[in-house]
Amino acid sequence: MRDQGARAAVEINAVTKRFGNVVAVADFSLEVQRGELVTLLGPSGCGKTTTLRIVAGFERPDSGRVFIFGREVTHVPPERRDVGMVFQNYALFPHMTVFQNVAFPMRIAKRPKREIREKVREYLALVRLEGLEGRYVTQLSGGQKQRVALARALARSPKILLLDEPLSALDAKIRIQLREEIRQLQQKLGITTLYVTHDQEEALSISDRIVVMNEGNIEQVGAPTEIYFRPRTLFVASFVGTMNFFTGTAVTTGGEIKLKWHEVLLSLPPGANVKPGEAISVGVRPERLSLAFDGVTIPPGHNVIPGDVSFVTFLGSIMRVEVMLADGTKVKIDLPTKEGVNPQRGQKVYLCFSPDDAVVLKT
Amino acid sequence: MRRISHEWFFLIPITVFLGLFVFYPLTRVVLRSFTDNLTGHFTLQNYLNAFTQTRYLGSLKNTLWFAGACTLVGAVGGTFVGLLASRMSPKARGMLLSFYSLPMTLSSLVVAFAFIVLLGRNGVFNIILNRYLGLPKFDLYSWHGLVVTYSFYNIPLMTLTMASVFLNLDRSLIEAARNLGAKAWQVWIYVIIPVLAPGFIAGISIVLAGMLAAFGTALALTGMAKSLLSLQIYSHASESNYNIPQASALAVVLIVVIVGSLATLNWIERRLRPGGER
Repeated sequence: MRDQGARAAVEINAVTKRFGNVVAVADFSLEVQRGELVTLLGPSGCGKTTTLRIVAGFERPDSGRVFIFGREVTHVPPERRDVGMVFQNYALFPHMTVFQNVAFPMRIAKRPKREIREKVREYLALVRLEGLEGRYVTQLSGGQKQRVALARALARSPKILLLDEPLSALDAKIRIQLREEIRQLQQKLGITTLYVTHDQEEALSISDRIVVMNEGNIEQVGAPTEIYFRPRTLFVASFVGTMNFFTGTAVTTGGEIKLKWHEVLLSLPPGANVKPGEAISVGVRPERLSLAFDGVTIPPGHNVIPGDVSFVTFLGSIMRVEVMLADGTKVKIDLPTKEGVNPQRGQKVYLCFSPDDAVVLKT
Repeated sequence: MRRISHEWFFLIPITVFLGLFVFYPLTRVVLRSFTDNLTGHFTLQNYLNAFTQTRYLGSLKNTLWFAGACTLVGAVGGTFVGLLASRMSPKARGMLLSFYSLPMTLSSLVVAFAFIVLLGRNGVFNIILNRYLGLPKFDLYSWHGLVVTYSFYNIPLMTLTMASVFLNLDRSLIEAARNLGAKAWQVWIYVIIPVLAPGFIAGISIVLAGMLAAFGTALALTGMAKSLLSLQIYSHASESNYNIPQASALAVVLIVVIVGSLATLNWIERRLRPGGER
């Protein structure tokens, strides 16, 4: 506690957790700074929930240590960790009203009745649920239940907040609305938050930093824009957003290293750390690709690959075009829409992208 | 609407069956209970007897005590085994629970004789207790002997209910309570017990109803030596003590007691149920 200001709010140090022969979390280390919202993102079974449960105290790591504001909590039982948690299924007490649910942590802590009443009112107002104090949780909608769960987790003013897939049971519209509210609330309270989700869009939209996990390991840690624009592994590139890959071998031509993809030579972004002969993939986001309908309008310096339009979807603000290349690869392109520009199925086109917009990934 | 009326059609056989073999006899029992045994005239004497004569009052009291004791033993034992069962591997639990379903399929006479062989005056266990361990013999033909015998039905019955009640308990509720600062005992008091209460009460309702009407094994073990309401009814319906109107009145009293206790438990259960009326 001495150097609380200097240390990270949450420090996970080389934590490993096995279930039988399965390694759920492998040598996981992470520091979350005070007031930060960090998301653990990955497919199911990647160890993100286990990591969160280790921080909450529901699982004991096989090795490694966990600190909360400088205090080691690795072997501290969950009720003495002072962390608030929101569960995937809400885990509201069905035999209690909304008021009783939010009041529960304060009742356990034996706070005076009057203080409890005020706090409950305050936190229900915070999650915009005033007037529902007397309802049973079975009478609430999914979104309302999630707000109660949030109010209950915050009611004891915990040091950190843990959210385990809090929105996965809700429908799309409420999900988007609630995630914005959670982010605003988190920033307003300045509470350090660990957020678990498998939804990459959710992670990108609310996080200060994202930890992309796969099979118990950290693939990449970074700000949402960094994760999106500069993925460091093939897994991150394909899990977060849509990415088109061109896979081949690095070759040297004219003193410059390029990717030889079938018969086409593709320029690599400047500074790509690639040796000749290495197997690499070049990834390009659909919105970084453009189409040229003849050989003349190709921007200078761009990589160019010919193909045929195989599918077109008009989505209002963008047009999603699928182009089939000579080797059968299908490439997705998102074009900003413009009246009069209508690629036709079967039309011959040229795919163009600037080397600067590509990422190079080792395969 | 046409389809619904067609579906009603399929209810006719069971309705006819219930009418003939439940509602008709029940109506007869109620009507008979208001008639005089000899003259057949209307009378309230049978009910007057039921609530004034010592043997009837005694048997009503015995029935209530006996059913209460059996339910208590069944509830405690069944809850304990149910909790254990819920923590077993699915395979072990499946085996235990199918084994526990057996008593319900056995004839009450078979169970009575099994207990006589094991715990009767010269039963295997009594010989072991008495001759080899020097302990007093267990009296199977006493009230507590009957309670023990009926536990053979009641503990498994309660276990089947409580195992599923414990299995359906959402583990995340326990974790949420811990996370919010509750110690293990507080989790039990504030979360687990209130959440399980409705299922528990539903379970004891089944046991209690069965025990208020307990008959077969009690008859086989004790004959008429222990005065239960069900045995009194039987004695009046059999030759020795033939008085059908009196038996009918006692039967109506027993029905009212059973319906009354079930209604009370049901009322409590509804109030305890999540979101229930308070």
